[in-house]
Amino acid sequence: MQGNLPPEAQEKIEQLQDLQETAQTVAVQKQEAESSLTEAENALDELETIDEETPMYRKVGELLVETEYDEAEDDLEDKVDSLEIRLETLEKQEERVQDQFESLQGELEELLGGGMGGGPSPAGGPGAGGA
Amino acid sequence: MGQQQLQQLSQEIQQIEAEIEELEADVEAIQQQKTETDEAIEALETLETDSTVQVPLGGGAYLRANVEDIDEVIVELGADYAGEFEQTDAVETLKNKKDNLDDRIDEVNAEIAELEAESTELEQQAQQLQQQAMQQQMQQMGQGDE
Repeated sequence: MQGNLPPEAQEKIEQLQDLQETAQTVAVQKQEAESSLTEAENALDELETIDEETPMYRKVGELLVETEYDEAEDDLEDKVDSLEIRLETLEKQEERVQDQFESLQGELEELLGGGMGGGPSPAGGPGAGGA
Repeated sequence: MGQQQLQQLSQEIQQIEAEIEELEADVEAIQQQKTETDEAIEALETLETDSTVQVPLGGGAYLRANVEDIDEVIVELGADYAGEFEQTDAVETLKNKKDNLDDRIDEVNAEIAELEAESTELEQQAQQLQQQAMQQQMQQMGQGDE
């Protein structure tokens, strides 16, 4: 199918496919970060509703190791902060990949005489795999 | 070019379908967590201090044990932390957990619905392209006959 295309166009299609893969990887990482963030936020919310004297435990492998309420709170707050930063980074990366994809798609359209309307987009469409 | 577009659309539809499958598996896993939470609530509401229980050791083996204090229940809060609660607070915490799981199910289901709508739209586009290609072929055949 791609054998009939000029080499330059073939190269661009390969680049588009690579970008699509990158977009999918970023989407998966974003989903994981979102899920971890929700979990840490929920744990923090739950922590705020309980008494500060409550004995707390931290999971280490299969073990539950006793810890302090304040320590748990600080650690969860740090976790939320770092996951928010990670999520921001991934969102920027997602935008960058999307921009690169669109510009490459434009270049390919020009090469092939403008017949690419409605072509592929990273990870099955802009913003796919997010939420 | 039409063929290429069709191929791209079909790839996109396949990707979306794979994503939907993954999300459906997520919903199933969350439902499983909800069932386990329900079982824990039921057990906590049934047990009391000095109750005799059989602790599962795996492999279908159980060991008899006594509940020393029903007001020392450890419940995981998520993100690797757990707290020790009295019986009623433990049940309350587990019910909150269940509410959070319900919210997550709603979120994932909304995402699935969005992807399904996207997939339907792409399928319609693909159908239109196929029809156009067929019409073009028929026209070409008609011209060839003249």
